[in-house]
Amino acid sequence: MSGGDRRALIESELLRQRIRLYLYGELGLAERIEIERCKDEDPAFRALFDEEREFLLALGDGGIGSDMDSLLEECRYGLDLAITDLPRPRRRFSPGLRVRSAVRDLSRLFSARPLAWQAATAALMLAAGFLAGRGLESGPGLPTLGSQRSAGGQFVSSDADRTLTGIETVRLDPVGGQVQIVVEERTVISGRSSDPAIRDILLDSVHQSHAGARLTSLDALREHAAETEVREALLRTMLEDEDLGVRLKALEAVQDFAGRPDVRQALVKTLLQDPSAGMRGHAIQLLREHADRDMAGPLQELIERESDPFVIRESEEILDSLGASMERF
Amino acid sequence: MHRPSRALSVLLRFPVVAALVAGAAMPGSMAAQPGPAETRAGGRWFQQRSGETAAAERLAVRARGDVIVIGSDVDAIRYSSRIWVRTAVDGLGLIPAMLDREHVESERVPDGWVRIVLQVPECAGCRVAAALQVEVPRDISQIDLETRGGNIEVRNIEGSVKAVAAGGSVDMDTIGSDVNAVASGRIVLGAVGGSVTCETAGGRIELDRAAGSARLATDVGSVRAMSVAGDLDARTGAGSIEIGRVKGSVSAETSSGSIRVIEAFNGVRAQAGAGDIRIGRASGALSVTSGAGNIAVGLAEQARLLDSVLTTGVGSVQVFLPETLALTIEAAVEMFRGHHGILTEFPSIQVSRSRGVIGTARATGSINGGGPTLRSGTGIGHIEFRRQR
Repeated sequence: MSGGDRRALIESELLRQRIRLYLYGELGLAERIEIERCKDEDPAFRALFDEEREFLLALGDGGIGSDMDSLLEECRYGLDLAITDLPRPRRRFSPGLRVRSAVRDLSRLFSARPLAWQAATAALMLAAGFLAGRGLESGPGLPTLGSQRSAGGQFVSSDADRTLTGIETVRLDPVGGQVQIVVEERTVISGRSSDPAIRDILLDSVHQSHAGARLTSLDALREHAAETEVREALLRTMLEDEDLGVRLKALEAVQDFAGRPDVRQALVKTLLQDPSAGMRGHAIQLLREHADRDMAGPLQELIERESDPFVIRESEEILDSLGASMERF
Repeated sequence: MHRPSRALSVLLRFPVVAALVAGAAMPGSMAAQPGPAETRAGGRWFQQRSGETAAAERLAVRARGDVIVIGSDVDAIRYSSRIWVRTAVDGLGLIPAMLDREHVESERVPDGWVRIVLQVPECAGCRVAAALQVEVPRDISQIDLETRGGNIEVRNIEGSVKAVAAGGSVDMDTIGSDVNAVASGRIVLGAVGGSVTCETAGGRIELDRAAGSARLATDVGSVRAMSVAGDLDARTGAGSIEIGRVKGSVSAETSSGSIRVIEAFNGVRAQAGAGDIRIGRASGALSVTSGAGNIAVGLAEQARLLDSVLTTGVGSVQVFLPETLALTIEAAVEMFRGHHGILTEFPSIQVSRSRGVIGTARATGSINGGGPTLRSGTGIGHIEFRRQR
């Protein structure tokens, strides 16, 4: 192969890459315009474009290109219909379950169209971000837009305010006479954290939203830490969240339950695993108040590798109070 | 395995109780006391010594283990040391001799200082714990404490106190002048008659009341200051910040955690990497920023507002304005979904919005003829201007 041929091949492959990114919807606006301009003006490029598109269509069962937008619309429309059609007894309304169900529906829809995943997931994440950022912000004296009170003055989740906020597309089927309107919906859900529906959303938010919303969700869940499901979520957050402040907030939320075995066990894990000496310091202080013989082994292990003087001293004092040695034998 | 007696366990776990017990047993004579002979129970040895020196203007303590300083109506400086040694085997019988040596030294040094040093014996294979309690005249002017591997407690002192607890916590109350505390664990301060400077590597900080300014900083932990007469600077690497009434300016910063200020009279600078920020009543210049979190700010009825900025990356901004306040509003929402983007209860604030599912919104306007500029913005979210009720 000559140098010119090789260069042409490389250039062709680069162009194919750009076309693939365009078809996946991953190019920025300026690049998309450039691709479209080349397609309009350059027959050779158009041929390459069509070839790549057909190839990907064959691979992806038709889930890309111009079908992408309509697929998303179909998904949103289907989701909207599914939500609207859900039976909704007033007190069993559960937005959390609804969101989970919607995600499952979307998963099923997309499972046959793997190429649609990226853009659709991005759209879903954006929507989830909005829900998380906007829907969980009410507090005493600080009313939330769109929230409503019941006659008794108490917020209840079944008063969720669903507002159509924008018409995305209108499609007319001249043969069937049907009109399909895809609309965006903004939902403000207000209620007490004791409401199971609200708690479901808070439990989702603790793991799925941005750090600010996670912190606020933990604050709201704190008073329900006596409940096993809530406590499990708090402990998981304490052990796994990437944000130090969120982990600390979760630890503070379970501190009144440090006498329970599940909490003690998680605190010991924090002591052994958390990279922050500050977190380990908070954990050891809680454990000190509820020292137990089962903690001797982990504390002896900790002392061998711990570098923070405060954690070491507290560990030694716990071991001392337990009558255990400082070393493992 | 030897287990401590219940009484000894209590003394080990609650050094203040131990100190009080020891204090009660302290002899009343003015001569330095060698103290009772060491006692042995199981694998534990315990020795207490006490002594006394004439009152001085200033006290310095250097120790290992817990240090407790209490101000009272005494006219001398009295001290009591306690040392515990625990070991499984004392085959050579060295521990009684080790404990028999003098461990507390006191000396007078220039500028009115009395210096007390508690030296803790080293013992291979032993666990040694120590505590020093010092009783001083309440009107002592200055105290300087340093300990390694122990906590510091100080009560009822009219002068200033400096406390460094490496590997421990600090607890103070009823201090008449300035406080400077450095710790590895928590720092808890009650009433302080002067300014406060606190720094800890990994614990919470609590301050009940300071008559001067306060600087509180922790690497990991919450910060709480209920009443500060001067300026307040509160920082944490991770954790929430809760502030009551501050007559001076407030500066609060957390990488991850919420910030709450009940009342600030002379400006607020609040910054959260992630977390909500709420300010009940504020005056002066406001600079409130959150990377991801909601902001809610109420302006005081007689607020002397200066040019201010309230911004968040993701979240809502709510501003509660008194009817009488004169100010100029500028607001921007980069991305919102909903009817509003910007909601105002003030007709003089004009809102413009772009069309589309995801829109942008801008608002400008003057209230009561205009005044200092209040700029507010959010990347994703909405902004509300509401009347105070």
